[in-house]
Amino acid sequence: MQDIMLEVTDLTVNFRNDDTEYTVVNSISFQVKKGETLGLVGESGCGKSVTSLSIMRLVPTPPGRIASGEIRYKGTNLLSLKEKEMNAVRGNEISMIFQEPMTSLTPVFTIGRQLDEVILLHTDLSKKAAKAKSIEMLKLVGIPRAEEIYSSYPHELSGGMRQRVMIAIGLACEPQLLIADEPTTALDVTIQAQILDLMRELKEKTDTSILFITHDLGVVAEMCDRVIVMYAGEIVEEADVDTLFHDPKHPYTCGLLESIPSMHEKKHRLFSIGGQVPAAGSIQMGCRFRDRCSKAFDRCEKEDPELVPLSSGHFCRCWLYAEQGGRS
Amino acid sequence: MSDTLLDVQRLQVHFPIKKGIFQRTQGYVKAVDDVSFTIAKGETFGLVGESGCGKSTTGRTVMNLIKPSGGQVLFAGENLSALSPKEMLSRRVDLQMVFQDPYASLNPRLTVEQILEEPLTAHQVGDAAERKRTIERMMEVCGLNPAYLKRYAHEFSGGQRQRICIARALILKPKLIVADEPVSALDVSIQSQILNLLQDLQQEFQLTYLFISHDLAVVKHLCSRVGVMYLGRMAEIGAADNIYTNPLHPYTKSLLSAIPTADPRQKKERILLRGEVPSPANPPKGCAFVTRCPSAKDICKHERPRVSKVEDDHLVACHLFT
Repeated sequence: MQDIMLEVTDLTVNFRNDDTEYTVVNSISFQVKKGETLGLVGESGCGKSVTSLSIMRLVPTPPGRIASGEIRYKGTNLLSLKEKEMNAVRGNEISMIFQEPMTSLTPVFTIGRQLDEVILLHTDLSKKAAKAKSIEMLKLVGIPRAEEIYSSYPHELSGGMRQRVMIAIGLACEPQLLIADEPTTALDVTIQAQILDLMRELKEKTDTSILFITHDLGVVAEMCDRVIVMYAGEIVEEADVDTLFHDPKHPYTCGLLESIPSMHEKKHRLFSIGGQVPAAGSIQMGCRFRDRCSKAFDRCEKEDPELVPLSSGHFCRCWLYAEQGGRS
Repeated sequence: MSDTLLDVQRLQVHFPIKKGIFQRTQGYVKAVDDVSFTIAKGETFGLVGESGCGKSTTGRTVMNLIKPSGGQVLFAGENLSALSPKEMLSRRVDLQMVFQDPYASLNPRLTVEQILEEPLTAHQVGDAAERKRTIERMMEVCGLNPAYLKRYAHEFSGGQRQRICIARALILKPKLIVADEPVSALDVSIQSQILNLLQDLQQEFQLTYLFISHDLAVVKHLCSRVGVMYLGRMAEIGAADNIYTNPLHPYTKSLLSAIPTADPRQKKERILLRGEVPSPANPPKGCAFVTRCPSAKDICKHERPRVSKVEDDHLVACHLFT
């Protein structure tokens, strides 16, 4: 069996607005194995970014609050660590790449200084050695003229270059787990292809586990080994990438896949899921997708469906498949 | 050829770069550099390219929001940039635009009713009662509940806001709609709703679209003809079928190969481009794509390729085909 790097159990995250508390992530559980790329997909507001922030313990508190659950990284529960201990994990053991390469670098420091900072903080290297390491990292992520870029400021670089720098910072301490939150969403397709290629290459070299968060199903198909689909704060389906794209079960997953315009076949009309994602807290009982689901029936309104196994490694939260899973 | 509604001829848009205390012009950013295309009535023309390639500038110049530095835009045979502001105002009824960001393109202080009424009052269409009827009907057509007339933009979701933007563009019954990335800010499930709406509206109102997007799959779905832009120039232009099944320009090829497909079983040859788009203030001397082109020849460095016809409704600007 493969080692488990990260195990999230029953994670619930609430956000407070005025006097009401809304559940944004509702009791989700998943695992990331060593060397695996796990995709987390869903539309905006489904809780995928909050999940990733919780792992890093970066949920803004207040208004956010991790209400319950456990996040075990190599067996230690991150939620019980002291802030100082957590700092030793962040950027070192687990690091994160954010969506906006334009805003996630400090404009007032040079690229080199921002890279050095991570290395100096987490290793015993001298300043000189840190600089050498930084330049090596910049070369690794394919930045030309690394020595020159080392002393440039972020505004002097293009979006693709900045994202490369972000990846260099993320990988500087050779993390075991990399959380990539929409790392290519803000980039053009040709640059996106370069960055994805780079991430794949680096993953093979270092055997890092990646938690890949995105809304782009095309990127998921190319990058991930396993996929989790989230809807309104819950996991609705989990499967390996091949099963998910070729034998999706949950009506939401099916709808999502059908609504992407295809490059290969010409459809006259696109399939579309009617309606929109329900606001957090608006659905108290029953399946959260039922209002938009064409297959909804009585039971969907009254009872919460559970995430049941359909086959090995394939889970689905839908009453249509409840009996198949051996549970009702 | 069927009736041409829009004829863009050798369009150039140059923005001056000003520097120093005297704000002297130091050079020009050639945002659009010699771009020509035509759009027939009732057609959807897709303009694709990466950020900074000049596709939005082209769209805005078609709308006559930016004056061209050279060339002309003929709308129904009339040169728009030669019109006086007053004459232009009356033509605006026929030319409307939908913007990318539905969060930024609606005034937060106005209700939906006020937003939709503004074009009607500006062009003195009908009396108050008539206007109200038009607004309600247009909301229904665009899939909005007319009961929400008094609501403000922030009370709507992204998809609904984009519907308001579309209703606003449509309310004057225009002939041409310039849609600048209308679905790129939306989630997939909402994106397909809006794309279907755009198709329905085209049928109902005989609209012509200039559809600007960086998403090649969306463009393929919606457009009958496509122009691929690179660094302010047209790299390839023609019928969508021609371009997608038989891409000729090396840039189009690599662009098409770079799109991730939502199918893990499909492994494809990817043409990875090295480097990045050069600055439009200082483009390469010959072909704009020469710095990244995998099949660049010597001539590409010195001479700018001309757009030449390869097959019926398929033109390409590349030395490999001349």
